Amino acid sequence: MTNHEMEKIYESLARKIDHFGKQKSDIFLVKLVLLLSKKFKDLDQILNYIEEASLDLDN
Amino acid sequence: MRPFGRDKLDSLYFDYPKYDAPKLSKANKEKSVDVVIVGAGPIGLTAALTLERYGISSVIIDAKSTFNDGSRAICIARQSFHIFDTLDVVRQFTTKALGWTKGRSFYRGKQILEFEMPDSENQKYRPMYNLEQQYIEKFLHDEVVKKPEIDMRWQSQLKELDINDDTTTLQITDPIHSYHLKTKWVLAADGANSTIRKLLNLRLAGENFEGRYIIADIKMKHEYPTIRRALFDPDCRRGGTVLIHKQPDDIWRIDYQIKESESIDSSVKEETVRSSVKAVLKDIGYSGPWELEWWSNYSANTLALDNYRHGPVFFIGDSAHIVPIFGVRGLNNGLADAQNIGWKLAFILNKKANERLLESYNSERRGATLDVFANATKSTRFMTPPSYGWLTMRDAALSLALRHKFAGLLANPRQMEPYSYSKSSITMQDDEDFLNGPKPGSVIENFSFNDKFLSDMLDKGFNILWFGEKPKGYNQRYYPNLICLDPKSKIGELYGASNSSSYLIRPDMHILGRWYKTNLSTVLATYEKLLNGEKL
Repeated sequence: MTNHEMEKIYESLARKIDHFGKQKSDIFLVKLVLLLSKKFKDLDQILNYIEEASLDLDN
Repeated sequence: MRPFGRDKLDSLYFDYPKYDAPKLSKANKEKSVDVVIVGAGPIGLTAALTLERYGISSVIIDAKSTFNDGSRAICIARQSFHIFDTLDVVRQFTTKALGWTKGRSFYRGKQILEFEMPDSENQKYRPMYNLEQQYIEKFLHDEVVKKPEIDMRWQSQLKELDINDDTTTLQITDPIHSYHLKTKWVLAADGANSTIRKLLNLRLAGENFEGRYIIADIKMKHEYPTIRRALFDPDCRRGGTVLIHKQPDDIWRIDYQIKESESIDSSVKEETVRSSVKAVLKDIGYSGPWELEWWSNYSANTLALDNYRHGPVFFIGDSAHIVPIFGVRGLNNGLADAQNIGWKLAFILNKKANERLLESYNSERRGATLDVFANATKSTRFMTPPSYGWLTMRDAALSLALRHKFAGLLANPRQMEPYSYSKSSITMQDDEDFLNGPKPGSVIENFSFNDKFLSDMLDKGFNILWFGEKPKGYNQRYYPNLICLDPKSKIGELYGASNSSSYLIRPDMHILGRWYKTNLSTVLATYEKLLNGEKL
């Protein structure tokens, strides 16, 4: 994926999170992850990414 | 602002000259002139020198008696150095300014990105240079006072502007006289608080962003190369952003974001600035002595006039557009405005071109501003996220970037690149037979021959790059400067040229058009059409 395409995703997600606000963004993002997981199929890899994404979130 | 006890012009590194009001008689001050430039900042001075290059006289007026009281703009892009090169002042700039190619971004103290700006041996100048604005003004002013065609009038304030059919009258007041000056053209280079804009009742339109910054210059002996540093969410400023730039004379620029809970009034207080700077220095591991030079506050805006031309008045620089600092486009776009209107007005006043040529000024330079807005809006959203959504995405990208390079690329600040005039009315459609090479509207690709660069071979007027044998009997007195090149050479490859390919280049190094296989008379016919104001 090109950097430009990545930016498109970045922008589109920012607007959606703004739209749903703090209350509903979590649900929106989890729905998105579930949809992507369905497409991605590889369970171990997805569980690895879940661990990976949870790093560096302290403080 | 300066520390307590120091005068507005009491700088740690720069001696401000004080310029007297013009000593001319009232009658001489009232002698009409083709062009009046209002504002002796970098943009106004560049416009005057550009006009002078083509033999056009001008009067510059400025209400102040010296240069800017603080540093403000410090980043000068490569293309601006090319402008200074054409004005014979570039040596002072290359001697004093600090060239740079690299930037580093940090998230909570850890480096997440190092970017390199495009550079090569074919480039005469580095992609970016840092230099305090006072020096930029001084170097240009030193050249201006050498030119008999430029009448520089300090302490001269514009009071009224009266536009009639073919003459414009400016009422100007200096400490000695109040007088009327008649002119054909006015260049409004009078900055963000433009007097001319107010006199003409014109307004800037656009957006204000959330981010508020303090910009501070300090003096310290800090060993770090000229690499722009951006600190996201650092210990010294949790949730905020800090930018650090090295300047000549051991001066460092520190820009830091003010928190939402902090008021401007308390943020600009000297003790607040001192403690904030001290915290930044601790973060970057500097514990030596430092002095506070100057500071100011700033907020990110994208504002522009709807039209950069109002009859005989052309707006250039900050009077026409205010852009966010991220990406260093304020000064650099202003300099491009000055050069753009400069050569066009000179062609009109020298009776070499039809006045319709001037119509392209607004479309080209306002187009450049809108392009800046699009890029700067992206950078600003990253630097100072305006809402919860942008903040969430920014923080997620930064957090990921600690371990994943791809996410760091999202923090790329999109530095200034020259705008392409591909959609301008005076740019030709591209010849699709070309497989590569710079396209019409863009700036030429510079090239290093052993002893000189392609940019050194350009004449101040138009230039033709001709690939193939030198045509016989070409008269350079009446036509553009002809540069003959071998299509099978390295520069031929760079320009995607075949035998009898040609590029027509404007005085500002932008490409007007190109032909893959042509003859000189076709190229010259296009040149004449342009000057006659006909459609290309």
